[in-house]
Amino acid sequence: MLDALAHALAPNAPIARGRGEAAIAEDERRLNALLGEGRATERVRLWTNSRCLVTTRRFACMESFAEAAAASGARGWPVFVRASGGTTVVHRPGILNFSVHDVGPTDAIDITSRFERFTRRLIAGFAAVGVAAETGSVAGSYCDGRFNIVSGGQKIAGTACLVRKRGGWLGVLAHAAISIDGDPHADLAAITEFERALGLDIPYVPASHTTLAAQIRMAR
Amino acid sequence: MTDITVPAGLWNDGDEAAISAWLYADGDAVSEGAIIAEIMVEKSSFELTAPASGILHIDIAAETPVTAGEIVGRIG
Repeated sequence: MLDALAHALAPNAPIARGRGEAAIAEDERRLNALLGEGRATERVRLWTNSRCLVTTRRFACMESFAEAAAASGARGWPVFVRASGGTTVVHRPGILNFSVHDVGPTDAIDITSRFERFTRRLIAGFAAVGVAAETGSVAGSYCDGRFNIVSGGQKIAGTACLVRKRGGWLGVLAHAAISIDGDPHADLAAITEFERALGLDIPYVPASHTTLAAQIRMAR
Repeated sequence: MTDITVPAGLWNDGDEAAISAWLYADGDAVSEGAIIAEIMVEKSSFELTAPASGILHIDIAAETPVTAGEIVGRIG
């Protein structure tokens, strides 16, 4: 299932099996490398990660971050920090990460249209494996936003962007975390516990999330 | 003093933007080109880099809405 969706998204890209922080940092390393080339280009990366929570620099600046991250790690959910937007998300082997690195001259990149193009590509990928999807917010989902990928009213993938400028060049990292299989309730519980330790109490709703496996089962 | 300005033209005028985090504290020494803050627009993170080397003076606190062209701090 993961392989089928990966093939639909990027037929020639291998799926890298990453581990923790290094796998997350690889996205930024690639963006910096492309910015260093100083030419318009686009590259894709398909990858999975070991089980962890991935949060934002905003949350990492909070006073109780170190303590909350250590406690989450002790529960089996180490916490790492990413540079793209949103809030805390889950990585694990049942979640496929799809990253598109896009570099162009500063005045030639429109972030919203790049984001929309990215979500259209995701929706086409889901269609290719028989799952109807659209973009939209889902109340109660973690890392909610209007560019979620939604199937049957439930969030099946989250998206976020990082925009980095260097000289006259703009690099855009568009990233999607796609729930292939596994237990979204356990994901949500891990996020909730970590964010409560940060002093946040966001009212998540477990039924707001689904997986590709669940959607395919329902379609049969 | 060198102004730190919110970049223009990177997102739609009507979109809500806010400084989500300063990555250095007020009074810290920063180097030109270092990523010193991020601005969040929806779920896109736009990085602000130091326009000069020197001491960072933060004028606009994190979690505060900002607009393109606004001066959010200075380096001196």
